[in-house]
Amino acid sequence: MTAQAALGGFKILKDVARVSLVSKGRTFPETLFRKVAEHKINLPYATLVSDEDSWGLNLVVEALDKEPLCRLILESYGKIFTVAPRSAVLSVFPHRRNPEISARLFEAFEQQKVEPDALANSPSTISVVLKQELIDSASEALFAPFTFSAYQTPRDWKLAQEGKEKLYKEVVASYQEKKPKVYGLEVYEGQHLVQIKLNRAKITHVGASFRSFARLSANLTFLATSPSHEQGKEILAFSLPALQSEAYGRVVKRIAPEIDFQETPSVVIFSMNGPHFGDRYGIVSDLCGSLGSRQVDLLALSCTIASITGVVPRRQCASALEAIQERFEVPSVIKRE
Amino acid sequence: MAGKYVLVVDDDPDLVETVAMMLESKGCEVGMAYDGIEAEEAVKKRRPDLIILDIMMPRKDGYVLCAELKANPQTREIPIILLTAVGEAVPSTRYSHADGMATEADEYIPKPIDTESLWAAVTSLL
Repeated sequence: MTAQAALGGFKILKDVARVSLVSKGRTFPETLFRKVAEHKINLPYATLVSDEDSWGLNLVVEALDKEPLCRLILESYGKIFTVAPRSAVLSVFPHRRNPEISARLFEAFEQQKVEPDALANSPSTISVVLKQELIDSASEALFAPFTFSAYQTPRDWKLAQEGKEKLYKEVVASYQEKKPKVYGLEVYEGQHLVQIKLNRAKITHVGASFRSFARLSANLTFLATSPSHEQGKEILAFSLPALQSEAYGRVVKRIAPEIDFQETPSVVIFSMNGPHFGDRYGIVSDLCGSLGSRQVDLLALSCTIASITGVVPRRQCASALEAIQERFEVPSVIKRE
Repeated sequence: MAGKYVLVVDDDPDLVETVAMMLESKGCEVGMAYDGIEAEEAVKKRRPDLIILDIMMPRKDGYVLCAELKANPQTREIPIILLTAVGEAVPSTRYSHADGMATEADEYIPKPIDTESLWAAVTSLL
């Protein structure tokens, strides 16, 4: 039996709605996110993945914002893929970019038959969108592969969660500077983007592949899922260092030969952490707008916890960083390999 | 800074990660905790050379932990940098920068933090 991995903790955000859609058109996400910001709709979770000539989006909003969001999407696009009104976001931390943590999470959920609706990483955290009724089984499942220094059992964890929801909106509303301040902008050069297309029920089947990536000592710098334009299919997009890119396809094909596997070599991952960046309105819009103004091709994006992370082609890295620094107050850019 | 052990405490795991990576890049060893109780346990396990402490956290907030550590003869000499949330922007809370200044912390950095100011505070206290 594998020893448990020690983690810091996990959080659950309840009473949210997930809205998923697939759209065509290069500027659609920019337009939609601008409207969402104009209507002051907070986005506790947002992912965007390009899929051939279309976009897959997963958006999570507070339950009260579900109707306004759906109205905006219908006005802009005319149809919505999925609305899951009683959802929750479970966030486990810290993963420290180790694919082994994702592997353990996938395997624990698979064993407990917990089916995630969507997944995304922030620099510290793996966030999983679930149906609210699955929260108890999902949180209990975490105690098999992981230990948490702050609590020994699911009951200890529940007792630790009482507190500060009332403050949340006031604090988020207080951070509306004209030029959002970033604590840190990290750039991972020499990355390789992988997109796997599979049935949503099988998302967690890739756990063994992620365990193999961990054995290669490959840092997981991006992870997000999105709906695909192919009905019933989900895209799992992730990035790893390009140095060992030949191995990634072999690993995935060995473990799941039937999986539709696509690669985009030579990409750059950038990640910005800032106050309530993962939930306050306007951050995704500002980023998409700034990249759009420089014709940077955003390949994928995730915005959760307190960070926004994007994937762009390597050749457009300089333009992307200039665009970000125009729109955000960035004290320093930290480049990592 | 090689060998200095800094404990970073905040309920925002992305901020903990950002600060941890900044400190690690300067040669510090970093411990991470996500609420006041967890931080208290971490201090018992290994005495940090410095604590960077958020105030608004579940279970035990930064004010209470700071007061307890400063009242304990075994931990009172540990320097504490308090991250005071939201400046003066949420006056209905007791988590303003002014409230933070009333504690016995050794340094106060208002959020949103500037990592260069934070590093300057770290180097002045280590």
